[in-house]
Amino acid sequence: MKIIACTLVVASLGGAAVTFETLKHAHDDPASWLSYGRNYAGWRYSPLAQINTSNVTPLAPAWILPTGGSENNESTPLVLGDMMYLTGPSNYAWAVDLITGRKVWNYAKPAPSGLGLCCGPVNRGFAILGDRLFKVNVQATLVSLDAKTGRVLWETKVDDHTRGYTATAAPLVVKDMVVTGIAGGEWGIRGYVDAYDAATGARRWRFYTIPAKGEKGVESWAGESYKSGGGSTWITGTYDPELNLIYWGVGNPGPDMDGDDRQGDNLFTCSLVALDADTGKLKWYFQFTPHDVHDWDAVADPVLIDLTVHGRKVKGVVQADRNGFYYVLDRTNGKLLATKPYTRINWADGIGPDGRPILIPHRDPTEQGTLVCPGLSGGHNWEPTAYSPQTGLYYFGTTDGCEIFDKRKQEFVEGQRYQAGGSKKPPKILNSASLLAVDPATGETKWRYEMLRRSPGLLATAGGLVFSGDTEGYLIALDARTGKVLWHFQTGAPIKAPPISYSFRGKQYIAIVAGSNLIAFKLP
Amino acid sequence: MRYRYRGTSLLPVIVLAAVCSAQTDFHTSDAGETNAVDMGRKLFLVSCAPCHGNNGEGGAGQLQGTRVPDLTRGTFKAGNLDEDLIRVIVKGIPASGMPSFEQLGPVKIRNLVQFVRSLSRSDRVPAGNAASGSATAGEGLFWGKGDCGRCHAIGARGVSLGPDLSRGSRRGSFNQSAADRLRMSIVSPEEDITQGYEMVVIETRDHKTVRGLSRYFDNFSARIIDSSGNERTYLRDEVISMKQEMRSVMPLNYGQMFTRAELDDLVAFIMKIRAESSLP
Repeated sequence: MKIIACTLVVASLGGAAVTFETLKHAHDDPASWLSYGRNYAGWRYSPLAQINTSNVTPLAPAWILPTGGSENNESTPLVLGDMMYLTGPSNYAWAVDLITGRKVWNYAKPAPSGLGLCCGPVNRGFAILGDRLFKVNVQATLVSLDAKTGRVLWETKVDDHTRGYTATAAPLVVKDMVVTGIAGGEWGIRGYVDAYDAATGARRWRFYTIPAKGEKGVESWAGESYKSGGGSTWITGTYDPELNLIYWGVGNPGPDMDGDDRQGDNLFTCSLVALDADTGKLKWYFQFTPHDVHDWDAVADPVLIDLTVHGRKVKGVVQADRNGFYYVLDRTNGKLLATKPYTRINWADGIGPDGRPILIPHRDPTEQGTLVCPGLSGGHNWEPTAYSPQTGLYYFGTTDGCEIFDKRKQEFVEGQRYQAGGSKKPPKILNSASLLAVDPATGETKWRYEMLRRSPGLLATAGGLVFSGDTEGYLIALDARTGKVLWHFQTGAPIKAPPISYSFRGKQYIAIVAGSNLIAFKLP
Repeated sequence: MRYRYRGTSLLPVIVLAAVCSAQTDFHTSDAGETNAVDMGRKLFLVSCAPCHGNNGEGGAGQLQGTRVPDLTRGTFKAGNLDEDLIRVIVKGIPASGMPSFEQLGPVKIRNLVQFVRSLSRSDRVPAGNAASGSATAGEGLFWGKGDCGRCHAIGARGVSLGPDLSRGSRRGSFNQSAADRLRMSIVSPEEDITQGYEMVVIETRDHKTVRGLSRYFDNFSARIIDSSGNERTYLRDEVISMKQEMRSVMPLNYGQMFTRAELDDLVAFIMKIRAESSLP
């Protein structure tokens, strides 16, 4: 282990090629940030402790890079050697010099108009392997760039954007493959998880999240409703190298609010799927919300934590699901180990031992509208979470509130929005938000920091800190043990992205995109 | 301008009109809006009413029953800027049968545009209760009995503390549901609070409670205007609590203070303001 750590430190200093081994041992390379969730387990935990609870107060920007892109930036930057790699909305990307904060190269590809996007042409980041970067373009292509120059090495069409398919998630490199998801859950797509050859861009395998005729699970869809069943995969999954399983969250069934014509559980929507990394075959699934009618995609980070549950050591995978419940599953077989509500819920009385929610009647959307808690965007949504092995706590943001859901009849037309209803804020209720620290084995809340709006993503560090941006432009550092705010800084633009941490020339940095500005913070 | 010369003499108007007619481009100086509208009306009756109807309602006169656009809606297919209207009048729409009126010259065309604009103002709109109200009477109530200007600004007058009343309606068109919402907002302000106008309640360390509206409100600070009009910044660290509540700072008794007819007048006035302020 020591030897690996040493070689990796050298590798990070030189910016040498990233290997599968590097990615497997990301924890031993604290200087870099080489994947969406920092390690395969999706912890977003930096082992760096130079910035810590006792000295964080004077933290200040070392440099600010106005990217010039859109402010709607949800991207996790990668750091390797003396470079940072950042993507932006509408197919922009930049390489940044860590010494000066200046741009080294740009990548841009025009996005066609009329794309089926619920929430803007966002992009959530790069993946890296060797000296190659990988990102999706919003018109459903996957592109590989030369990390030194930004030159396009290959670009593969993932799907037809005129049929409602788009792409926003950061890819996940596993072995010599680039694994990626697809967006378009409000456009009646048929979702999947794909793996591509990192060298050539050729597709290795595809797992459809909606089974076809004759396949297991199709019986959970009435008639031919599976054909426009949705099941998007718009947030990056995680990977367990020992089990060789990829964990990926699946989005809502289509049409979102009207479930009348798709009676049944609608597998594998609103589920976590575990896929064999070599073949893409389904090993197990767990469906959080059978027959969802509230747009509760199960896209929250599936974070891999080894836990002690009821006195037994287990390989866990946890998810703060959009439906308002926190879940602990056995990641070897998908069995439910623990569950707990983390926000106000009025649609279920709890989760049964079989993992199915115990439904409260009359919570489906109606023509007149039905008040349901949580609201359409859920308790927690997609925003990156963090786990600190130092505190043993798991951190995520929530919206605590309710919305009025309505439905209407809608015919499916390929390439057109297929939501069949929507939601609105109740006039007299002020929704609030929280940053929660929970015991990952039980979901029990250890501390709660109240915010105006849900955290756009988190970072935990060995300095005993949790970092979060907020929608009013503050970057905040909290004591990871207590939730006490220790530092905040007004960045000048709404933050929609998660922070990262890296080390360069002996100094620890915290970096985040605020609006369209990339900012790196360090101690004076 | 009009006020300054009112009651003295008609001469200045005539002089200005003369200056106007001497201009060679479309961007005339202010000849007095009413004057331009009146001149435009005369032209309209001759040149446009045969197809568009005497009041611009469309599908009238010799082309009754055909698809001649209604000009009273305040939105125009070819664009809503004066330039767009001028372009259509000058060039016509050959495919539709609308001829060019370039021969009228810039000043007359400008006057036509002024008249067409006047067609879509909500002070001549039909409809329900609010439409039967008098915008003029409403204006009196707004500044007088209701003292609405204490928290709402219209133009340079009043205090811009509450929501901008010129927004919330589609350009120039009278919208019954918008009028109904407006009435509800006056009578029951807490039914549907405009985002950003929730009441902020701060408990200070010396145990005073400050209620007001916020210029901004975030996780660390807020700048509050209290009911006395005092404005200051509070840091969350320096107070006991700071929160937004789904309550309105607007008085809750307008439903009792105003008669139904007065509410109609008030709504008519605000709808008129909205329509006017949405013009370019």
